[in-house]
Formats: sequence, C-alpha cells, structure tokens
Amino acid sequence: MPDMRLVNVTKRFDNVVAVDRLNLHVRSGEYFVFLGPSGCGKTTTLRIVAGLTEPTEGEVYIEDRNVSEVPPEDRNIGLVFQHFEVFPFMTVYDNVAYSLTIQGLDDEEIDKRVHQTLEVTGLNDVADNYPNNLSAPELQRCSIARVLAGGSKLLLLDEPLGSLDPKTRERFRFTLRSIVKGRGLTAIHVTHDQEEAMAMADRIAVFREGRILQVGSPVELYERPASIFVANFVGETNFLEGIVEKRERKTLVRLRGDLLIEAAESEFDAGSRAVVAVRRENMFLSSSGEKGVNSLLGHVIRVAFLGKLIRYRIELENGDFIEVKQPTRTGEIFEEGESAHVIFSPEKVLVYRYPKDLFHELALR
Amino acid sequence: MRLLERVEKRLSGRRYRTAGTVLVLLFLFVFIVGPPLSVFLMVVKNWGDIYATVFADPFFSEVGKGAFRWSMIQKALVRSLEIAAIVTVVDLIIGLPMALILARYEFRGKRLVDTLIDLPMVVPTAALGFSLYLFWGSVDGLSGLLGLKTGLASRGPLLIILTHVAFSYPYIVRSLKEIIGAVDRNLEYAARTLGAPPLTVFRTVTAPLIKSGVLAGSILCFTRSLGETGATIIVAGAFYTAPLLVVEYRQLLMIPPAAFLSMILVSISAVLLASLRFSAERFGLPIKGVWPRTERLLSGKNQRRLRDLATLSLFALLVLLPTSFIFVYLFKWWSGSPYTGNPQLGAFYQVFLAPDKKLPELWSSIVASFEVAALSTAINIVAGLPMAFILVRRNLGKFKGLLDALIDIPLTIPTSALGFSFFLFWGSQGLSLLGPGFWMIILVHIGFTYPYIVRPLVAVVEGLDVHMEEASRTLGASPLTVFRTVILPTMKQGILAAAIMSFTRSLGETGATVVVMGLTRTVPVLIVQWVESLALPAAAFACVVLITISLALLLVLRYVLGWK
Repeated sequence: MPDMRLVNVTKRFDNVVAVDRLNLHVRSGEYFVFLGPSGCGKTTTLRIVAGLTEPTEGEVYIEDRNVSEVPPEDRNIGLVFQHFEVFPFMTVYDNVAYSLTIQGLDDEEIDKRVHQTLEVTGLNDVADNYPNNLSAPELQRCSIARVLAGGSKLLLLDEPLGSLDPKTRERFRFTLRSIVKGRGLTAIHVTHDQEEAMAMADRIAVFREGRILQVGSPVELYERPASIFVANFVGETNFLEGIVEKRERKTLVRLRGDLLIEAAESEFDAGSRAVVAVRRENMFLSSSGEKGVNSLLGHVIRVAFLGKLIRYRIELENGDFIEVKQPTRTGEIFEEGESAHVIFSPEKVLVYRYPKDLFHELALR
Repeated sequence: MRLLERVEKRLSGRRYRTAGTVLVLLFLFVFIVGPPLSVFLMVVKNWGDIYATVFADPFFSEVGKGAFRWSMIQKALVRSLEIAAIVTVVDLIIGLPMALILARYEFRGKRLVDTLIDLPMVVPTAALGFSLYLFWGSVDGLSGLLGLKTGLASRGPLLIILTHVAFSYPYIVRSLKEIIGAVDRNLEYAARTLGAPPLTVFRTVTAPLIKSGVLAGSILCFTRSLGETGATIIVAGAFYTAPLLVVEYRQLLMIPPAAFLSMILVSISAVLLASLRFSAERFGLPIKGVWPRTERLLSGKNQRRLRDLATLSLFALLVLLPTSFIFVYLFKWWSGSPYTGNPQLGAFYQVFLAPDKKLPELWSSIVASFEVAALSTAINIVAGLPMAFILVRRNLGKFKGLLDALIDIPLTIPTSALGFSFFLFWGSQGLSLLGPGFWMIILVHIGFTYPYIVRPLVAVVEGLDVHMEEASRTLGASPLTVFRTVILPTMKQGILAAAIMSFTRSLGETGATVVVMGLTRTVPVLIVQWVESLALPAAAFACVVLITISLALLLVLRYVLGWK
C-alpha cells in the first residue's frame, strides 16, 4: 500500500497559477477525495500525481520515491477517467489485458489475471464485447478493471462517477469504495459533488483557486468548517452578519435590528465584525416559543416541498433571510405568510471573522 | 408581409421545391457525372475504330506491331501506378511524423511551419513542376551549389516522383494532422498510465484509431499522383504517364486511343473511389505482440529529437526549397540569359521587350484564367449549395450513398481524362453542341471543381444548428425566408472558403484545360508552352505572377477562416 506526498507543488499555465504551493500527505490505504468547484486545481493536481502534467515547481513522492521526473508509465499508478476512455477497438478482455501484455507476462498468466479481474468487476458476461455495445456503467467497470488488472496500488479517479446517471452513481459509490478497501489500495478521487465526497471519503481536501483550504474527515468538515467558503460548499448553510459581544462567559453576536445569536465558543474580541453560520438542517421552525436569543421571529415567504423535507424561506424581523430544512413527518407544517420562530442551539452556531470580501467568500467558484 | 417574403413563401411550396430538386440533380447528371460516364458509351459505340487504332493498326501490323499503342498504354498505366504507389509511400513516411509534430507539440515557429507546409498547395502545379525541374534538374539549382556541371536529376521518372511528392505533401500532412488531432488524447494518457511508453502507445492505441483515416488519405494521395498533369508535363521529358498520354493523343487528334485510355482511367478511379468508401469501414490490423523494452528505448528524448530534426530537414529539402526555388531563379536571371549570360535575354527582356509580345499574351491568359475560375466557381456555388442541403437534410435512404459517390467522381479521375471526356461529350463526337475553346474550358472547370465546392458545403450544412431554423419557422418565416435570413448569414464564411478553394484549384489547373482549350490560353498552359519553347526566364516570371495571385487568395482564405 503506497502513500503519496506532494511537497510545495506549483503549476503555472502561462500567467495563471493553477496549483499554488501545495503540500499534502495521502496515507497508505486511505480513500482520499479532492473536493472543489470546477477550475479549483483539483484535476490538475491529480494529473501531476499521474505524471501527465509536469509541475512547475515541487516534488511528488509515491511510496517515498521521488517520482517528479518519472514518466507516467513508470509510476505504477492506475488512472480512471470520467469518460472511461476504454480503447474502442479492443474487446473488454483485451482492454483489461492491456497493461499485463505490456508488462510482458505470458499468455497463461494474463488469462488468469484477466479472468480474476473480470470476475471481481462483474464483467464476465461481456468479456468479448466491443465497448460500443456496452452501457455507461459497464464501461466504467471496464475502465476500473483495466486499472486493477495491472496491479497498481495507487488508484487515481478523475470524476469517475461523473458520466453515470444519478441512481447508478449512488450505487457505484459503494462499489468503488469496497473495491479499494477490499484490495487494500490507496485511492485519490476527484469530484465537485460534496455529497459524493462525504459518502465515500476517509478524508477530504477542499480545493479552491489552486490551494487546499482544509483537510479533514467528512465529519470534521461538516461540523467544523475552517472557513466561510468550506461551510458554504460543504452542506447548505445560512450566513448572517453581526457584531461580537461578550456577556459573562457567553459569546453573543448582535445582528442588525438587535437580534441576538449565542455561539458555543469563539475567540473573537468584543466589538469585532463577524459572520454567523448555521446549517439549514440544524434549525427548526416552531409556531410557539418566545422571541429571544437563538429564537428569532420571522414569517414564511416561500415553501418548497422536497419529499422527506420541506424547505422554508423565512424573512426575519430585521429583514435578513434564512432557509430552514424541516423534516416533513416530525416537524410542524407552515404555509406562506405564517409567522414562525427559527430556533437553534448555540453548539450549532459557527462564527467567522468578517472577511475582506464576503461576496467572493460566498461565491461557489 | 412584404413582397419578398410573400414570394419566398410561394416558392417554398411543394411544387417549386420538387422542381428545384430536379434541377439540381439534372445539373449533377448532365454537367458533372454525365461526361465521364459517357466515355464508356463512346468506347462501345466506336469500338471498331478503337480496335483498329489501339490493337490492330493497319500501318504497323505488317511489321507485327499492330498493337503498339496498346502496349504503350499499358506501359504508361503501369508506370503511373508505380509512381503513384512510390509517391504515396514516401509521402506517408515523411508526412506522418510532420503531422504528429504539428498535431501534438507546441513550439516556437509552429505557425510558420504550418503555413510553409501549405506552400505547394498554393503553387499551381505547372509552376511547381517548373520550379522542381529548375531545382533538381538544372545547373542553376542544387547541382550548381554542389559545383556540378549537370543537373542532379534529368527529366524522367525520378523527377516526376520528386515533383509528385512535393505537390501532394501538404494534402497528406493536412489530412493526417486532422486525423491525429481528432484522436481522444485521454485514450493515450490512459495507455501511458497503464504502463505503455510513448512509442508503444502510438502503435497500440493511436495507430488503430487513425488507420482508416490514414488509408483514406493515402488513397486520395494516390489518385492525385495518378492524375497529375500540369507539373508532370514539364518534368516528364520523353517519358509518358497515363494522363500525359491522353494529352498527347488529344493533341495529335487521335481520338479513339485517347477515349480508350480515358475509359480505363475513369474505371480505375471508380475502383479507387469504391475502396475509399470501403476503407471507412472496420478492417483488422493485428496489434498483438508488445516489445516494451525496444519501444521504451526508442521513446527516449534523443531519439525523438532526431526524428523531429529528420522530419523538418526532409520537408525543407524535398518540399520547401524546391517549391520556392522559382523565386531565386527569376531573381538570378531577371536581366541575363541563363544560356549565354547576355543581359538582354533575361526575364525582363523576354517578357517586356522581346518582339514576340509575351506580355500581352500573359495578360490575356491571366484574364482568361480569372474569367474561367470566377464563372465556374459562381455556377458551382449556385448549383452546389442546394445539393449540399439535399445531401444532408433530405431523407434519401439508400440513394444517399450513391449520390455521395457521384459527387466525388470528378475528384479521383485524372483531370486530363476528365477533360477529354467533356471534349467527347459536348463536342463533335457526342452532342455536337460546343467546340474546344473558352466555354468548353468553363464546362470542364465546373466539372472538376464541383466536389471542391460541395464537400465543404456539406460539412457546413451538417454543422448548422437546426434549432435556430426551427425558431425562425415558429416565428412565422417560410422555409425560403429562413434560408435567406438565418441560414445564409451563418454559412457566409463557409461558402466564401469553399469558393476560394475552388477558385484556386481552377486557377492552377493544367491537364483539363490543355485537352479542351482550342485557341484560348490560361496561365498554367502558357507556362507549359513557354517552358517547352525554352523561354525559361519568361516562364519563371509567369509562374511568380500566378503564385503571387494564389498566395494572396490563400491569405484571404486564412483570414476568412480566422473570423470565427
């Protein structure tokens, strides 16, 4: 099981910095996800690991070997593409046998290993088919099988589920992860789909503008996002502006209109500007209750029925807007125009220093 | 509704549409494919004459050589096929690495190389042949630089091959570059990450992906070499290729053997055309057996550099320098005779001062060339545009393939044979409507440029966004109004590009013109005549004039295509 390290990796295209002084350690046996909006440098970084893109500066280590100057064919990696890239003029069998043939194994050994891999990936029935007769999921299985057969231990996956329909995609998350875990591989998986990242990863690196903003387990990213961008990109979050106040040992944030929000902890000085973040699903609406701290009064201006959840858009007394996701079965039901209290606990409140450019921070790019 | 829209609505009716379709098809059959196909009829009708002249000439049968023309025809055909095969192979060997370099690498000066490659395409073949003759075959050229007293290659097969390689090089590089560029690079990356070194990737992934395209390109290259006349006339000397023999028989007014040979050439083209269509289908190419170690070795940086260097120098030696040598020659002998050094007998004297009035001759041939090119192009645009729509938009079922093939017919037939078939079809042997001369030249040029207009237009029509037209229809426009207000503006560039392509083709054509020209002269024909009468500096002047015009047109074309 190999690990992979990036040391000060930078990639510049002409004047554009695609990857900016990246340092990262992917541990052996880990299912690691690069998450970020398009153009954030995650795919470039993956291609640098694969050896298809040469970094402008910095080094890449695979299993403690500096592979920065090593061509892709000698890195012993497996790359799975979004659009499969199964060789169209070869049968499934020949595709899977490709890297074994190049390794110069004898036919018997090749046959054995190809059949093994076809078995694992469930492609036995279509072994003699040409790719143009295969469905998208079969093609993706084939491209994975092709990589697995070669025996490489570091699996690089570039949006591997991006070309599949939503239902298949969800099924494949499990398949992929169990293949990686079952065979003791290390995987680096690139995606822009935060739900996919949460569902599959041991750890996630959130990319933006060529940098890694945060590395952590899905739970860490969800519970303690290090920045407004991460809080916004991972999950759905309400943001409100205010001023920090200290009262006894509590941290309070005063919004405009003198609404008060209490946070569990914060290292901010009293009087500093801040942004408060609360996830939509960490709030609930109630018709009863008292107006006060962490119980803000407003009225429902839009209702969207999503099935198991209902999404409400609330205009608070002070004119700020909040969206709340409330379970259909257990929550109270509201209609447009009704007034409601938005209630949440201090532990679920995140506080961030007011950024230089809030608009940029909140953009999902 | 304005009058125009009302008229258009009226003309969009079913009846008019059918009438239009019939007209367009009629044009195709009468003006484009009719003449070459009628050759077969002629041969059958006049078989007696043909048999007597080709297989049993009474003058020579006494000495047992009644079939000497047949053996001459056979010999010319075999030579032509041999030359075409050699040219194709050489072109592939030197063209494939160049196409790879242009398709895959970014380097300084790439645009320059890319433009230089097109040079032989702009140089009309007669001028190209002359330039190559001067470069390889005269003491003014390479041999002079090497201090030799005679040319390196005398007129004959070797010079023909060199010439054909030079003129077909841009076509093969262009098409290969396009084919390689269309390969999904991720497939190659996938192979790399699966452990294959670059050369192995090329053999096992790229090659299978491009093989049918390469085959198609090779067949086209083969037919071009097989049918080339203008350059070949100049560099052949006493040697005959099949198209030259057609010209020769025609000039000696020996119609039956010319008709017979034309028929054979048309047949060969039909076979090649059919194989061109077939090559698009799947065919096997064994890729088993992998030699990773050797290929890894050959994939090294130094080996690649060596390959690039060889590719560029071969291009310079075989294509670039010989093609542009005409400029050097003209400059050198601008005011001095190449034979005596007499300053009064250089290009300047020959063209502007000599008593045989070459300048007016050149001027009238330029005018004729432009008239022919402009008229035939205009007519083909009018006839070809609806044809493109019929091909793309109408549901033709089985006939689509047939129509498609018919349009390509003139593409593969040697132009001199094509020209001769027009001579037979319209002239005294056939419909007796027209004698050799200006109008027959126009008909022939319409014939051979037709595919050059229709093919690109088909591509343009295929690229049109139907939704735009649907939007326009639902906004109340009749089909013809849609055509004028939505389709034409979108196609403008494509039409202009096709027109310029056809115009330059017509401007540079020799073989087809020679056969039907009567007393009219176009510039390429004039160049051939001046070369034959050994007025070389004057011929060089005419070449440079013609090249300059074509070059200007190519620049316009690039500009137009760059609009997008």
